[in-house]
Amino acid sequence: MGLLCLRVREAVSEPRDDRELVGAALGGDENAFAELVRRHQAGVRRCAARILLDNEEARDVAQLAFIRAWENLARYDAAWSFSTWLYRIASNLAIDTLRSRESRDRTHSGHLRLVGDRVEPVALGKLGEDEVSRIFDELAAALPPMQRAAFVLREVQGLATAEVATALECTEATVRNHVFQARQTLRRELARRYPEYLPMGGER
Amino acid sequence: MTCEHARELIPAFVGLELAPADERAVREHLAACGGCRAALEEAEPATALALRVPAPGDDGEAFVAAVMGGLRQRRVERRLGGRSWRWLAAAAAVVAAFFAGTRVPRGGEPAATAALSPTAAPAIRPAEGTFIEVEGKGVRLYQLGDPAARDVAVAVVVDPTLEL
Repeated sequence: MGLLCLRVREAVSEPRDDRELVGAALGGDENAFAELVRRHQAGVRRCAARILLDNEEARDVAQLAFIRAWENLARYDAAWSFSTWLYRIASNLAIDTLRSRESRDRTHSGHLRLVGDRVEPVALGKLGEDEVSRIFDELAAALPPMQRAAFVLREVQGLATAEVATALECTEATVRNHVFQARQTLRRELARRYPEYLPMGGER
Repeated sequence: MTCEHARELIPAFVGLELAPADERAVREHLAACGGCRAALEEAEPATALALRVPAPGDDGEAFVAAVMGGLRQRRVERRLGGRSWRWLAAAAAVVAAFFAGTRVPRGGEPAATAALSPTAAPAIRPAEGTFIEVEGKGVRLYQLGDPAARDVAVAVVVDPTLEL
């Protein structure tokens, strides 16, 4: 009977928050850490993928980020949210990878149009997910690593400016500057490569 | 949040000036409202594009398994780190070379099995009971023996998600 009561209590108990899971993981509970991975893997993988512009490489980087988190769990400062700490580890790894990566041949001349080509405007909202990812990667290739990371964390992932500043170890003003500069570059590249996705087909 | 309220907040959203709670509310509204997304596209197409970048495909459990397997692998590597690892690696290589293609019963003499092709892909197949079968070459050897066993056992990790 006692066992039955315990099981019922477990079944209806609230999910543990991140800090409780970190505490359990610090005590060696691998299942608790697996739950943290489960909760945050999608966001970490998405950020790594859009910083690196490569899904496969991003998977490896995201995996390494979680392994580093486990190995350095004792250094986690609970004053931060666990996700911010994870994004810090993952974006550092992604930026390092980006900087050390040999330059790749990324020519997209097939998508360039002759100046003066007339295009009809098309709403971005009409695009499928794969097409959005492809266009984003193509445009974001023009961004330097820190701008790209700031834009991805702030605009794609929706982290608060303060969280991005913590993750990238810079000030909030620097984050805003990176995001505004990144937007400017992305708008320019969008107008150059895909004017149909700008309101009025790029004619403003 | 109403569309009217969302559109009032779009300039501040684009200006990165909203409090986190307001920003979350605007993002949730934009995710569900095509009309307001179109208004955002007018205001800032780069942000509108960012909002539509999808999350990765749903293979979350495979990813979790890969991470947890990676942790175990690193732990074994650390345990076998330094001088003892070198000694164990050398010993494991010798044992593997000697017993390659054989099953090694604990507590008994090695029993010959059918010859295995040396070109076969590296693999480990934990056999029934107390048998461990090693096959092929190029595998990574991490651990020797079960302290409780009298005979040789070789644990070979070829897949980081395998339990040791």
